[in-house]
Amino acid sequence: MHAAADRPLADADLERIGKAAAQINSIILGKRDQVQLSLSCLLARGHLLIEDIPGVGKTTLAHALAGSLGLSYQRIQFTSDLLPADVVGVSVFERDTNSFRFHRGPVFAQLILADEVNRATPKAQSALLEAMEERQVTADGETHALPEPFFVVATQNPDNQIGTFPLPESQLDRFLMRIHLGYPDQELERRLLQGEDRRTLLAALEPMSDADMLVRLQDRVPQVHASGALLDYLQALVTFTREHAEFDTGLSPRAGIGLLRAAQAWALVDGREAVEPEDVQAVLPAVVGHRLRAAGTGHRDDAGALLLEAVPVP
Amino acid sequence: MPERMVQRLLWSLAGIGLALAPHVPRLPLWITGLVVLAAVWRLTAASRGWPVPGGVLRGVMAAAGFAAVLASYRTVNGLEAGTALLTVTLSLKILETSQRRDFQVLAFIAWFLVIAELLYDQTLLSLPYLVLATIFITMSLLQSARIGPPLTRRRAGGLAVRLLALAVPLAAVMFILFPRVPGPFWALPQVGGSGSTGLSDNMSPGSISKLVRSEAVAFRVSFFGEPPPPAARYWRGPVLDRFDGRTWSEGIRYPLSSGAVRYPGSAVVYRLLLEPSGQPWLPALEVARTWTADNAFMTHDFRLVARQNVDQVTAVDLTSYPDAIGELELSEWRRVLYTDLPDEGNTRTRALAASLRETYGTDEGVVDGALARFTREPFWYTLEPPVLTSSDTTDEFLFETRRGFCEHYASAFTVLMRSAGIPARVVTGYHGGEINPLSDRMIVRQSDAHAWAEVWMPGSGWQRIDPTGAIAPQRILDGLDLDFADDRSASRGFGGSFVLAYRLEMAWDAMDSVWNEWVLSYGPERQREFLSRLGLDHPDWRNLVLILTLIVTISMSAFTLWLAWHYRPAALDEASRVYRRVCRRLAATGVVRQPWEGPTTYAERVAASHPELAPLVSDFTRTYVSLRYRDSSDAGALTRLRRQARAIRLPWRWPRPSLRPR
Repeated sequence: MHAAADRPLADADLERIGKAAAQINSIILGKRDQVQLSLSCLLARGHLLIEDIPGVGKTTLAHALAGSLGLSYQRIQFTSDLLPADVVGVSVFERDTNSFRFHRGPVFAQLILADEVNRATPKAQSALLEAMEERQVTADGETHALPEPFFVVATQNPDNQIGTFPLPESQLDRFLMRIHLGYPDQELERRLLQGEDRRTLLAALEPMSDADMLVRLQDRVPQVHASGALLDYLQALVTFTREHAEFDTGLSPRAGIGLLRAAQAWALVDGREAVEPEDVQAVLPAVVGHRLRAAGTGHRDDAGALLLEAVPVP
Repeated sequence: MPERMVQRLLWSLAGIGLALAPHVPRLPLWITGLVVLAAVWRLTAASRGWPVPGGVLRGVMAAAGFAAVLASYRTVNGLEAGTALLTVTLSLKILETSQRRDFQVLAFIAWFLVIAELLYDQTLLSLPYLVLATIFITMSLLQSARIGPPLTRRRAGGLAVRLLALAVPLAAVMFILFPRVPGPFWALPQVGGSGSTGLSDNMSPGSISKLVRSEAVAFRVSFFGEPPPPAARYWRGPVLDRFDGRTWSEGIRYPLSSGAVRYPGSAVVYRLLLEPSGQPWLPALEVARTWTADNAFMTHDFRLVARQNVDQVTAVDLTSYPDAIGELELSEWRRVLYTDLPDEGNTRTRALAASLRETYGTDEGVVDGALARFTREPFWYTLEPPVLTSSDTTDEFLFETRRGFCEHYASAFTVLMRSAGIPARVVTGYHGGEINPLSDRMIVRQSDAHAWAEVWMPGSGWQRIDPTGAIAPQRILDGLDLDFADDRSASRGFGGSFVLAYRLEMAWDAMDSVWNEWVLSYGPERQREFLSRLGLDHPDWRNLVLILTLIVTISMSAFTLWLAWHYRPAALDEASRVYRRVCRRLAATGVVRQPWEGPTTYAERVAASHPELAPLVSDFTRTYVSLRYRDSSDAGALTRLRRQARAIRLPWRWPRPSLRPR
C-alpha cells in the first residue's frame, strides 16, 4: 500500500517479518490482506478466527504462519467428543515418584491451530478459550504458564452447517479478529491447479523469524503513535455503533482497545511509526465483524463496511 | 439475538396491556382475544426465531379485521367503533413488529389508547392510573427501541418521567390556547345507557324519591362571599306547570320578558361547577340575574336553561338575588294556565279547596290553612310511600295514604291551590348543600333533589311555599332526614365515630372539585375569561391557532438550536482547514473525497485518475498526514503544508466543482 519511501522504520525485525509475509503469500495465493491481518493479529497479542467453508485454505494458512515464523506448532482437531483434558493436558499418577504429574496437553505450544472449533461441545471450547484469555492453564490447583508468544488460530465452519455448536458472543469476543478467506479468482485458481502441491510447499518452509523477535515486535505495537486526531476517529467509530439503530449492541471498550492495537500492529507491519485512518479501516472489518450484529435479523457480514461508510474521517 | 427481541417485545406488550386494560370491558371479547393471541404468537415467534408473516397475509388480515369491526359495529366511525378498529390494528401491528420503528408505532398506539380512555372517563379517579400508564409506555418505548443493553428499570423510569416533564410546559400552553369551540362539536359523545341523570322535565309520584337515593354529586358551588343561609338554598330546576292528573310536566320555555323581575336586596355571587347531566338545566339559586354561560337563557318562570345539554363538566359564574320579586302582574291567560286542572277527578280535593276558601276567604288565608292542615293532620314523610293506585292520585294521597315524599306534598299542595283558584306551579330543583370544610365549596348531591310549590299573590308576585317543611319532624319515617338536616355527614352515617372517613371523603371531594374547576370545565367561556386576564380580548380561533403555532415553533426551534449548540462538532485545527480547502478544490477534477475516505486513499485515487497532479497531491498529503497523525514537532510543517496547498492548481478548463458527493 505504501511506497518504500514511506517506511521510516526499516530495521532488521521488520524486514524479517516482511520476508515471512512474502513467503506465506507464495503459498496462500492472492490473500495479501488476510496474511497481513493474521500477522497484525499475532503482533497485537490477539487470537485469530478464520471462518469459511472447508477447503479454501484455512489450515494451510495456519501451517504457513507457523512454518514461516518459526514457532512451535500444535494442531487440535475439534470434534464433538473432544474433552477439555484433550486440550489442556491431564494429571497422571506416576508410580516411580508416588505422585501426580501434569502431562501438558497440545495447548502448550506457541501457535495453536484449533481446527473446526465450533464442532466441539461448549465445554471443550471453553477450555481453549479460557487458556486464550488467561494465557495460562490451571490444573489440580497448579498454574502452568503458556509459552510466549501464544497465538491461537481457530477455524470454524459457518454457523449454519450441520453439526456445529456456534460460539456464544462472549467467546467470540476473545478473538481479536475474524477473517474470511473466500474463493480465489480465475487466474489464481489456475495457478493453484497448475502449481505444486501445497503440502510439499509447506514442508519446504524456512523459518524467517523466531519467538524472541516476535515478542520484541509485540512489545513495540502499543508504542506505535496514535495521534489525537486518530483517536477521535476511532472513538467516532465506536460511538456510532452504540448510538445508531443499525446495530443491535454497540462495541465494548475492549473492542475499542482491540481495534487500536490491531491498527497499530498493521501500521507496524507496514513499517510506519504512526497509525493513519487507513490502518484503522484496514483492520476494522476483521475486528468488528464478529462483534457487531445489525439490528433486526441475524448476522450482517458487511457490518464493518457499513460502519466505515457511515463515519466520516475527522 | 432472540432473547433481546423477546425482552423488547415484553416491554412493549406490557405498556400496551396497561393502555388497553381500561378499554377491555367495553370491547367485544374477540378483539381482546385477538390482541392476546397476537402477543402470544409474536413472543413465541421471537423466541423460536420464526419470521413475521408476509405482506400478502398481513394485508388479508388487515382487511379481515376491518370487515369484522364493520360487521360488529355497523360503522367504523365514532368512539366505540374507532377504539375497536384501533385495537384490531394494534393486534396486527404486534404481529409484524421487529424493527425499532415498529416499536415506536406500538408506543404511539398505546399512548393513543390512553387518550381514548379520557374520552370515556375524565374523572380524577382514573387520572393517576392514566398518568402512570403514560410513564410506563414511555419507559417501554425507551427499552424496546433502544440500541444496546436495556437500561435499569430505575433509570428508564427516571428518564421517562424527565422526558414527559419536559413536554409538560408545551402541553400546558396547548391546553390553555387550543381553540375551544362552543357547542356539540366538542361535546363528548354520550356513552352507553341513558345519558342523563338528575332532574327531568316531568314529575310523577316516585320519580324524585328514586333520585334521592343517589349520593352522586350534582354540582358544586364556590361562593364569592358568604353563602346564603341553609333555608335559602333553593337551587331552581325545571318548573312544571301542566298536570294531567298524575304527571306534572314542563311548559313551553318562553324567554323572560324584561322588567318582569325586580331585584331588591343584596346579591349572592358564586360559581357553579356542574357535573355532566345530559340535561339543559343550570340549577341557579333563586333568582339569577347574570351568568357567564353564553348559551343559557332565563325562561319566563325564572330558571336558567342552556341551549345544549350539559354533557361535560361546566363552570358558570352567576349572581342571584334571593329577595327578588317576580312577575307582579299576571296576565289573564297566564292566570288561566296556572289554575288549570283536568276537568274531572280529585273531587274530594276540590271539595277541600272550596271549604278552605269558604273558611279563610283570602288567598293568603287559604295557603296558611292548607299548610296548617299538613301540620295538624297525621301526614307522614317517607321515602317509600305506598303506591298510589287510583286515578285520583291527589285524593288518595291527601285523604287515605297520607304518606309521601316531597313530590307528593308539592304536587298535592299545588293541585289544592289551583282547585281554590290560586295560580300555582310545581318547582323542582335541589335544596340544601353541604360545605366541604377543606375546599370551602358547597357540594350539592342528587340526594338533595327536591320539589316545592309556588303560588302567585297579587302584590307580592310568586311566593315559594315548601309544604314538605310543614310536616312535623317527629313524623319522619325511616329515620331519613335528608330534606331537613343541614349536617349531611350525620345523615350518611359518618358523624363523630367516622371522622377520618369523613375527612378523607372531603379531601377527595376538594381535589375532585379543583380538577373539575381548573381542568375539565375549561371551555370556551373560561378560556375567554382567562385570556382576557392575560390581555387577550376576544381572541378568535384563528388568532389562537396562530399564537399556538408561534409558541410551538419558537420553543421547538430554540430547543433544536440548543441541541445543535450542545452537540456542535469540535473546532477544526489549522491543518484540517487547509486540507478541507484543498479537497474542495480537488473535487473539481471529478474525484470527490468521500467523508469516510482516509487522506492517503484519496490521494491515491486522485493520482490514479489525474497522473499530472500525483506528485503535488502526494507531497501535500504526506505533509498533512504527518502533521495530523505522526508524533511530529516539526514547526515548519504547517508552513510547508500551506505552500504545498497553494501549489496544487487546477487549470481553468476543469468543470465547476459539483457540490454533491457522488
